[in-house]
Amino acid sequence: MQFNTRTPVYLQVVDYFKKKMALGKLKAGDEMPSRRELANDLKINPNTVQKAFKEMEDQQLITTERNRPSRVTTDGTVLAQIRSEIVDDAVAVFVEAIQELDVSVDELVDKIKRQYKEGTYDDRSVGS
Amino acid sequence: MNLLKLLSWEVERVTKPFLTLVAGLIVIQFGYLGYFLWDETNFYEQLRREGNADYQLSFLNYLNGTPYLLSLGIAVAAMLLYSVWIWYRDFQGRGTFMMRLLTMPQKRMTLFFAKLATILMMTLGLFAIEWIALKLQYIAFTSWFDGKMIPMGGSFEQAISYHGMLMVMYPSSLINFVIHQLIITIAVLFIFAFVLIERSFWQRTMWSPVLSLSILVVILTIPILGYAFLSNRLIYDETIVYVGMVLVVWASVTIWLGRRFLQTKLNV
Amino acid sequence: MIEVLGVKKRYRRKQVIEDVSFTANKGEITCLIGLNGTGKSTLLKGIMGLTPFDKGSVLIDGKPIDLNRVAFVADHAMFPIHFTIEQCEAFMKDFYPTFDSALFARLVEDFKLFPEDKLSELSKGTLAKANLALGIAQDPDYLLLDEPFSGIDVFSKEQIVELFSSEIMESRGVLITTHEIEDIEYLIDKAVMLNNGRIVREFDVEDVRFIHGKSIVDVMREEYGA
Repeated sequence: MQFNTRTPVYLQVVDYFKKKMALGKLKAGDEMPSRRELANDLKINPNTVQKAFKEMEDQQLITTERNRPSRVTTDGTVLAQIRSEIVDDAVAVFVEAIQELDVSVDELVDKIKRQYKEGTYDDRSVGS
Repeated sequence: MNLLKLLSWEVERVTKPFLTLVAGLIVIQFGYLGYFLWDETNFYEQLRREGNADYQLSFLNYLNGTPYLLSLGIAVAAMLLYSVWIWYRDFQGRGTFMMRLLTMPQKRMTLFFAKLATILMMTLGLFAIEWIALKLQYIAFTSWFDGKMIPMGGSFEQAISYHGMLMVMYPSSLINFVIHQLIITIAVLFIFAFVLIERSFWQRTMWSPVLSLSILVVILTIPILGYAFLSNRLIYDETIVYVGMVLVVWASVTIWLGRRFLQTKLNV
Repeated sequence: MIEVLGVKKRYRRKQVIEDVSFTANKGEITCLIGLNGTGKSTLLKGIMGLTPFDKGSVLIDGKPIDLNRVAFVADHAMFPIHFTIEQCEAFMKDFYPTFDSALFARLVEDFKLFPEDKLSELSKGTLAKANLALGIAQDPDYLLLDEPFSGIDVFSKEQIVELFSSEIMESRGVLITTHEIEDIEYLIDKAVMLNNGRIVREFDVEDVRFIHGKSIVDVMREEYGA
C-alpha cells in the first residue's frame, strides 16, 4: 500500500479498510487483522494503526470486545453507507476534473455508457 | 565484579601485543648473549695466546652491554606508550569503543581501575619473565665459561645489585620492592590523568595536550621544589616522612583529577 | 519521558546548541530532524553523557539518566572493529544485567547476521543492523539512535523499518536523528526540527497532516528553504 505524505496516515488506513468493506473483500462480521500484524505489514507506526482502529470504532465500522480481535460491523446500513460514500467521493473527483472541459451532462453520460460497454473502464478507481 | 570482568577483557586485548614485546626482548637478549659469549671467548683466547692471563669476566659485563640495556629501554618505552595507548585506542578508529565503555551501567572509575590494574599486571609480568630470563642467561653464561675454563668473578646477586636498572626492578628488600611498585603506579597515574584531561577539552586543539601537560608538570614539580628547599633542614627520618607524604599526595591528586575528568568532563 | 531542558553547548567559538528543550515520550518514536552539522548527534551524545552540556539538564522519567534503561546506538561500531558479533554479545552480557540473549538471537536471525563475522568485515547496512540488535537486546525503556539510515542499502533500510513497526519496539520510547526523513515518514509520531543549534519546530506529524495537509518534507522545506 502506498501512502500519501500529506494526508494523516491513520485516515489513509481507515480509507483502505473502507474500500475493502465496500468491495466485499471484508464482509460483515469478518475478523480484522491484528494491529501488530497490520503495522508490520504496512510498515507504519503501531500507534498510527491504533489511532486508525479507534477512528473506525468511532465511525462504527468495526467493533472490538475486550481482549478479542476487532470485527467488521454487522450493521448493514453502515456498510451500505460506506459504499455510497466511496462512490460519491470518486464521482466528486471525476466531476471536478471533467468540469474544466466544459462537457454537457448528456454527452458525458453517453461517453460513460459507451466506455462501460467497451470494457476499457476497469476497476482501477476502487483498487489500491 | 565488573572490575574483574573488565580486567579480563583488557587482559585479553593486551595479550597479543604483550607477547610480542616479550618475544622481542627474549630475541634481543639471547641473541646478544650468544654474540657476547662468542666474542668474549675469542678475546680470551687471543689474550691467552699472547700470554696475558690477567682476565676476569662477570655477568655484570654482559648486563651493561648496550643491546641488553637497549632491551630494557624498549620495555620501559613500550610500557609508557601503552599506558597512553590503553586509553587512546578506545577513542580511535571506526569503532569508538569508549562510547560503549562510558555508557555501560557501571561506575566510570571501574574502567579507570581496570586499565590501571592491566598496566600494573603487565609490568609485574615483565619483571617476572625478565627474572626467569636473567636466571637462564646466567646459567648459560656460567656453564659456557666454565666449559671453556674461563675465570669468572661475582655472583648473580652481585651483578643485579650493581646494575642501575635491575636494582630498581629487583631490590634486595621487600619494602623497597613495594616502594618501587608504588612509584611505578604513580607514574602510570600521571599518564592516565594526562590522557583524561587532554580528552576532556571540547575544543581539542594543539593546545589541549600542552595545557594538560602543564597542569601535571606543576603537580609534579611543586613537591620536588619543596624538597630542594627543605632538604638541608630536614634530618634523615623527616626526609623519609616528606617523601612518603609526597607520594601519597601525588597518588591522590592524580586519582582525583582522573576521576573528575572521567566522570564529568570527558568528551567522546 | 525524556526531557531535555535548556541545554547549551559551545564548540570553539561556535554555539553548537543554543538553549534546546524538547521532550520524547515513551511508546512513541520521536525524530530529531536537521541538516548535517546542526548538532543532532551532539544532542544525543549529550543526553548519554558522552559530551557534557555547558548548561541545562536531561531527565528521564523525572530522574537523571539510568544507563540500565537507556540504550544508545551510534552510526558506527561501538566496539573494537576486530571484535566479532559474538564477542560483542559476550561483552554486552557481561556488563548489562538486562541484556536479553533470546531477543538478540531473534534479531540476529531476522536481520540475517552471522555471529562469527568481524565488525570490520561488515557492510554499512549490516553494521547498522548489528548495532541496532545489540542496542535493542539491552531491553531498554528508551532507545537513542544516531542516523540509523544514513548511507545504508535499501534492503537493510526495509528490515530496520519493519523492526520499528513490530511489537519488539512497542512500549519503548525511541529518539532517532536523521537528515533523510523519507525513510521513516510513516514511522514517526513526533518531529523535532533543529536548525543552527535551535529548535525551530516541534510537532505531532499526524496533526500537521490533518490540520495543515502538510507532509514532514513540506515543513522541512519551509524551515530550511531547501
